[in-house]
Amino acid sequence: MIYFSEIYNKKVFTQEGNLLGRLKDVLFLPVETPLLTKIVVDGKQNHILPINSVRKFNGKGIYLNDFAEDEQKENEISLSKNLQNQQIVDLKGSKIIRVNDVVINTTPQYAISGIDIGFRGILRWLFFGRMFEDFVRNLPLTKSSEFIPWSEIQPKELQNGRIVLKKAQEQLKKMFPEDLADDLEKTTITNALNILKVMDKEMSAKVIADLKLNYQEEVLNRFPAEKSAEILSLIDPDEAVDVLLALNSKKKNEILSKMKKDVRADLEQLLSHAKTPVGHLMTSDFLTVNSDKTVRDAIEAVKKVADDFSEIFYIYVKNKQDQLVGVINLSELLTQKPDTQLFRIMNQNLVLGRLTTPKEIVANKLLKYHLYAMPIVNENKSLLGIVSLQDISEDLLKDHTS
Amino acid sequence: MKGILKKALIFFGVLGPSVITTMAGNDGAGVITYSMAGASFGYAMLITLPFLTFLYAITQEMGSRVAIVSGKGLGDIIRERFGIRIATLVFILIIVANFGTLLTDFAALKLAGTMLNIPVIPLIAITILFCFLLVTFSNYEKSQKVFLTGIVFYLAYLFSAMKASPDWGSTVTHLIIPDNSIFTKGFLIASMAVLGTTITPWGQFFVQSYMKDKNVSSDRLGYAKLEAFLGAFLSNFFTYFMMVATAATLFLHKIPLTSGEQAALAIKPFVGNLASTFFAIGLINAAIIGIVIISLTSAYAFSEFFGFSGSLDDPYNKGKTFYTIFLLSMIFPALLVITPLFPLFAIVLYTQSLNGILLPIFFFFLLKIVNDKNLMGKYVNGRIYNFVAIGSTILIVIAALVTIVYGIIPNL
Repeated sequence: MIYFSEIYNKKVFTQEGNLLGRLKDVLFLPVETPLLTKIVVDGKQNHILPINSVRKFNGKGIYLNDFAEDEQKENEISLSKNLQNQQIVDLKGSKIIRVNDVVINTTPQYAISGIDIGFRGILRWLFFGRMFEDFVRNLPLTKSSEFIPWSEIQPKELQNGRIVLKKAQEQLKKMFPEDLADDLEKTTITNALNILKVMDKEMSAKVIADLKLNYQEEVLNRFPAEKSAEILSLIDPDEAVDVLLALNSKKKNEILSKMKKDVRADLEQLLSHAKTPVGHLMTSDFLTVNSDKTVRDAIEAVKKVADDFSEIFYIYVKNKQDQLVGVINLSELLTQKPDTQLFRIMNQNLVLGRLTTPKEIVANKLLKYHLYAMPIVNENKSLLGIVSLQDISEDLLKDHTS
Repeated sequence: MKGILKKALIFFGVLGPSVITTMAGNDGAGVITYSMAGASFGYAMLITLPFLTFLYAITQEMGSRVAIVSGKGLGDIIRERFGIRIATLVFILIIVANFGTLLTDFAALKLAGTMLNIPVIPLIAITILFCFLLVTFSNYEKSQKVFLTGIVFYLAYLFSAMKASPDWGSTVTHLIIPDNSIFTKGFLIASMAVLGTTITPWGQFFVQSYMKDKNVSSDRLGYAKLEAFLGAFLSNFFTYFMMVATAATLFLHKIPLTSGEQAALAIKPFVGNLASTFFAIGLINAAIIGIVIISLTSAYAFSEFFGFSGSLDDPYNKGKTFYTIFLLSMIFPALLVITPLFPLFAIVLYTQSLNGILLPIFFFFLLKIVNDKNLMGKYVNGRIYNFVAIGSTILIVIAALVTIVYGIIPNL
């Protein structure tokens, strides 16, 4: 992957090593797959050359093979005139942002993969390269995603000289990581890595969580351990465990060693159960409260963890011996008087599973009792983790389809 | 008769951007500079006004024409045609120039406060709050009404001039017949400052951004042209009275001046209490209009150059960056001005000349854009229009260069 800012105005050399001129523009096809077709070189004369005459792009210049002069066809449009620096409007036609840089795929073929609308795109032009990128990336300047994949842009409008998004601006901010993940899987791993770098940390963690497992494995194998650790800490523990299990044990330990203590302890516990039938489906995102606590305490506890947990349906109640003794669902909790102690209102008829319980039985029980999650306990009846309906359904469906 | 009425109504629908921009050219910095020029050179200074009016009209007209035809601000187009690097450079220039002018406007506000015995810091704080609320929580239509109403306060200068009982016949002949004193170094520098405070980089940006926000269709171009000429005339009409007010008093009585502020203060014994109070009220109004509009220009320029949502019709949340820049543009100069040790006079002089010197750079972009067939189609400049515009630009460049040379070698 390469940014347009990195090749613009770079020297272009012929096969014999002679300077032909400087690259001023790139032509491309404004269609679903926006292949680059030609480069425009400005030297003593103007040259338009087919893209296949480019041997390589690098930081210093552009090196050509043999080439034959060509000219601009009617269906080709100019990247620097029609895309770079232009306004992007959303479906409703309101002006929102500007194209600060263009992201170009280099393999398997030259094509535009998307648009950088972020502040860093501007810095790249001003300071000639990616020098400041990592620095700015860590500043809390821009929270939302700064990369718009090509699939979000209407190619037809581009032919009319306008850059229009397929969605309205409000929707753009809520662009689902799942969609991005689908896009990434279609491109090469190098491209995917570069695109992930453009996004902010939380967004990239979400996208990585939604990638297919073999893809996650590739991505994390190429990231430094610190970065992998950071990303895995941001995604759901059961998903993190899945990814860790896919890595070789050296890499896995390396990543775990870079994590914060509490996250690491959770993950290691989940990992130790991973080989059992339901162990790899368990998540540590559950809440336990002592039975002598009040409804008010429990609600406070829920508020504290609500942001970190991907979902929360039940409050599990334990006694002083750390044994699971009851469960309260969230809606029941909200309707009780604040000073009531939990043991008075908790449901003591627990539907429990063990690590050895087969998946099918867990699923059946969840459906039979209309539950969203099942607690998994050990011999002491201590809670090890919970298996959610969502996770087990996904897993069974995967078994079913593969 | 009905036809005329209809046309008049359309005209008042288009009315706004140019008149507001040109009247804002008589901002606090303007009032101080004009008073100073009138006090130092008397009626002779009036000879600059016809040329100024004409040049102001055509530059405003070009700006609003580009906005109507392309639907884009000057910043938008510079970014799209010349790329990020040039855009950043121009942005820095406009921010520096605006910062200087804002300093002068806050200084004018401070001065008017002193004249009226209003405590300075509360006056500045309330002004900033008022400007911010006006721009943030009202839409295009409402803000335009407030700006247009502000123009009424300029009548204060008409009153001040009348109280100075000038020789009206002589003032009119001086508009056409040049005086001997115009070939002096001091006169050149003063006219440069008058030019620099009237036709400004921010004025070029603002008329275009504001016109763009108004969404006027291109079959109304004729009315917009009329508006630009009306605006230029109105603005210099009041300039005329400001110059006359000080020329008929301070110049005639040979009161020596070292700064523009003095001109405003020294007028009191000659025109009396009431007219002096009017002068100060007019100055407060002028300063506020300048502060709002120049800060808005900085905000517009930022959103246009760097592609963040920016329009007066955007709700506050959507245009947060826009409004933050707007607020910061006001706060920094205000803080500097209330600092007691701030060397006000030096800065004011420096920034007004800077505006004049930067002007040709902005004209260069404006002329390149207005003559771009791809963008403007059949609405590019005609030959005579270009001849006049380019001729004036060259004239300003020469004047600017001479001013710079005088600035570097004062004893030439």
